[in-house]
Amino acid sequence: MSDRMTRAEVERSLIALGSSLEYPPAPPIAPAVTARLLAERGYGVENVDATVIAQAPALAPHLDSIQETLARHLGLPKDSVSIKAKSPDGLGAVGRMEGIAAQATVLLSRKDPT
Amino acid sequence: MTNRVEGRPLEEAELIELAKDGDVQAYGELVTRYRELAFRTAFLITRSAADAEDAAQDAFVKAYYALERFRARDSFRPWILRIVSNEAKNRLRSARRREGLALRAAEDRRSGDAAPSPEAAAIEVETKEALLRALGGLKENDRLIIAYRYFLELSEAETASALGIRPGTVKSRLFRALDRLRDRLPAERDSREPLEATDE
Repeated sequence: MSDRMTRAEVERSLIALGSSLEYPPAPPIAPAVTARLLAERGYGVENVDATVIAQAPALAPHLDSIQETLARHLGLPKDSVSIKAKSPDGLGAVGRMEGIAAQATVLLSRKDPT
Repeated sequence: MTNRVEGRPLEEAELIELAKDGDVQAYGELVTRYRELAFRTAFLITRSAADAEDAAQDAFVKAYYALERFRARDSFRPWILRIVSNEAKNRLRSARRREGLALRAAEDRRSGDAAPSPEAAAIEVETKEALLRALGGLKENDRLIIAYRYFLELSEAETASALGIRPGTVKSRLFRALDRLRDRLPAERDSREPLEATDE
């Protein structure tokens, strides 16, 4: 690189660099955003009961940290968030490992007007 | 909230219309679709994961209340990126000055791991490091236009929207930024050589 790189060489190098960059993992922004939008309408999340359905990977070892992360982003105590993992037993698109499904039930409460 | 056809993912335009009608769940799906790009965009500006998360979160909340002004014929992606970029810049102004790019290239993979992509394998580690150092030394506008085009792979129109500039000026600004980057690469090399010689 003692010679000045051409613009085309720089562009090729930047494209190659871009494909190998490491970013911090993106946090789950949606729960916090929706919780804030609901709070501004006078609703608060009381608790969350979620089920993640995946053929793979095995989620059991990660349930505790998923519970903790979700609770933190929703501003809830950890025990107000319940996360379960279920296997589709090979059935459907999830069973063929084309995706992962999640179902959640959220209890909202109307805050007293202040 | 809304009656949906089970199993069919909603199109982006449908989600936007639902969100405009106050469907927070639909908006949450939009946020999920764009969270990674939004976070990376904010990270390139703030160079802090915590600030990038806050900026992206604030941007999505602001965007929700601005949805009425979003025109259906426009693309949502550049529109939200513009809001994320502005939030990230506001946050950066209130943060202490940060040097460099806060990014690093992945380590070269050892044998047995999956092979790197042809693009990633095409340049040497030394070149990657020199590029990152040179990029980190550029002014914000130059650094961002390069990062948006080559790292986030935004189109010229998306880059223009995210930076708040006219689409017609993206190419000329990018060329000038690339030239300034090229100017820094030999200088980076020259400044490093004596240090290496001293270490030996």
